[in-house]
Amino acid sequence: MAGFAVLAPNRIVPPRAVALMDADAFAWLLPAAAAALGAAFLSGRAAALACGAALAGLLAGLGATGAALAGGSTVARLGPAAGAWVAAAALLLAARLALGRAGAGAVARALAAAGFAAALAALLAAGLLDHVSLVREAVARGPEVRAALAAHLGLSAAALLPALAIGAALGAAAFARPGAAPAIIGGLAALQVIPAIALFALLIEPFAALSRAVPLLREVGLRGIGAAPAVFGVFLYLLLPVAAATRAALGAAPAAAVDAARGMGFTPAQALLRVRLPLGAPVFLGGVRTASVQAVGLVTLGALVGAGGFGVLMFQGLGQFAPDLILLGALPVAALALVLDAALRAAEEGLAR
Amino acid sequence: MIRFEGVEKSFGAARALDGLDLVVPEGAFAVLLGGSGAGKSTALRLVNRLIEPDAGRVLLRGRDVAAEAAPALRRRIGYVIQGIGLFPHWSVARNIGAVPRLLGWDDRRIAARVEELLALLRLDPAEYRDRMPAELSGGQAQRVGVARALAADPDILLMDEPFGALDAVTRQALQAELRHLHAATGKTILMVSHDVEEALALATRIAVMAEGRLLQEGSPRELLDSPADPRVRDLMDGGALGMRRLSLVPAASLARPDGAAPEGLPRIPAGATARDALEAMLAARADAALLEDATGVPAGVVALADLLRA
Ligand SMILES: Nc1ncnc2c1ncn2[C@@H]1O[C@H](COP(=O)(O)OP(=O)(O)O)[C@@H](O)[C@H]1O
Ligand SMILES: [Mg+2]
Repeated sequence: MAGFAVLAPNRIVPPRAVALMDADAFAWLLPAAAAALGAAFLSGRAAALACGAALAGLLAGLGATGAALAGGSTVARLGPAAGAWVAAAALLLAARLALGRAGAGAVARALAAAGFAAALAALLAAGLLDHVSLVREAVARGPEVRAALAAHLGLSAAALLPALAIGAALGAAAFARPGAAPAIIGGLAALQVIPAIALFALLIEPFAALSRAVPLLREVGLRGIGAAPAVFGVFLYLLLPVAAATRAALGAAPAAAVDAARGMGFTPAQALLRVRLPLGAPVFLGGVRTASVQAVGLVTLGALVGAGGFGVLMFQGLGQFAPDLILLGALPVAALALVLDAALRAAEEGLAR
Repeated sequence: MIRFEGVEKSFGAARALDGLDLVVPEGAFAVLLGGSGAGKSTALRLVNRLIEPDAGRVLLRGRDVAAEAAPALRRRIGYVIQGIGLFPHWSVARNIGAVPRLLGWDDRRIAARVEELLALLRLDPAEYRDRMPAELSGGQAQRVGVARALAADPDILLMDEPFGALDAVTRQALQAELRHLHAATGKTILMVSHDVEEALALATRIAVMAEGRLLQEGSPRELLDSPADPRVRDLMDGGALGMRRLSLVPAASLARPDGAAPEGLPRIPAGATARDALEAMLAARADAALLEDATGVPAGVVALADLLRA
């Protein structure tokens, strides 16, 4: 939909476009534009800060526009449209580039993101965003969103934690026996070729059979449809990044340092604990990061085989042609992935130092 | 004393050692000399059991190295390699203290030993102790590598082309350091090199190897004067036999009392070799050089003709 934003009287009626000039929110939008303009002349951290301020102003402007146009209605909602999306995306990109130019490391970037999240929370708490469609949808579906968050995190962790243990063991085996490495890594790579939805569907029948055969499993809730095939399928996908990173991490120490350690009288265990593991830790953590981000993304598809999580909201939204609901499922997944990525990157950077 | 007895070692089809018999006397500075692939590194790594022989044995002071657990054996033997292999995540002090830590020394004793070794290798402890390996030049890193190998005061030092990756000036400085270290401590040093000049500058004994076998073992002078094999002759000659011979002879052994030494002769210091004397004469276009004693007072004259007695 063209225009700066779209206004709908409720979530069923198709919205109409709102142009920037219709908006009675220049108290917010003018300073935001000024900040964005300022960012072009500032450098580094100051520019990033200005971009962040501009983005916050843009959001507040959207909220204020919504409030003004909705009149007294408690269901009318203002959604961002092409104009607002492009502006928001451009500001995010500009902020990221400014941070890069300032030489900000992962820790500084994580701090900047946390600062922006805090500003967003403040806008929400102040009620400035109440008339933005996404917020309307989230408020209306509060319990559902909270349940989806808990389920999404639970499913991701249920797939990730065993994948870390077993993937690390497989990676270590591939490192210790170079002859077996192609079979191990190749086998895990072959799994990646199967599309996720197909893999989940393929797993339904085996889990259903298992649940029929073992009543105890049935009683603890294991069924063909539900969390089991999704968690197990995601677990299978995560094995490759974890195993490959473990193998690379164990081989990351310089060959001369390993030879020196052996030649000086380190036992194999001492060489592993004091030389190989510390020098490989950042590489391993890189694999953990990849796997975590993948887990959060893949679990979304689990909704198709009856697992919970944000995928449920997304697919409901798709079924109802309700863009706000789709976003309500998709944005938190993207945010979760970004947060995990930033946090683990910061940890990696700390370790590598 | 290190003794190799009929040692054989193959890697798959490649025969690295083909019956090596060699004795390195106690306190010697022995250099294993030979081209690439001669089996020098393999021989060296048999001593600290980084490689186990297929046949034969290696004795340290009469005791088979296989009789002792490898880690314990290695902690008694210093080991320096071309790649240096400093632990990049540890400071210089922690690197040097690695073996003492394995041996359970207390922290204060390790710290004192680190200071002592940094000073011995001419690195200011206050400046270098807390540096990370990435903050060192190649020469400084190898000084730390040598200090690390000496940390637990081993009787034997194994060195595999330790200066191979350094520039010529740094290499010569470290060679001088090592010569001084050997003279001061009397440790047995077994070093691998493919560089004849390096062997002549450092070794008290040279073992020339080719194709996994010992061609000849002897003092540098013996190898220069009476090579037992055409390959040894070619290696030792290298188109510079005369100069190499001069480099092994102290100028002092050729000097005569400076009766009526003419004015303006070039001066050479007390420790100079006959080669240094020739260089000084050629540079000054003189036919003799004035040898000083340790205090810088003229102690004798070396004439051009005297060099023929070297
Ligand atoms: N770990 C190994 N695996 C396979 N071949 C090896 C290995 N180490 C040495 N060799 C072979 O053994 C021979 C002697 O090697 P080495 O002792 O390293 O020679 P040098 O140190 O004199 O250059 C060479 O042909 C080399 O290719
Ligand atoms: Mg070698």
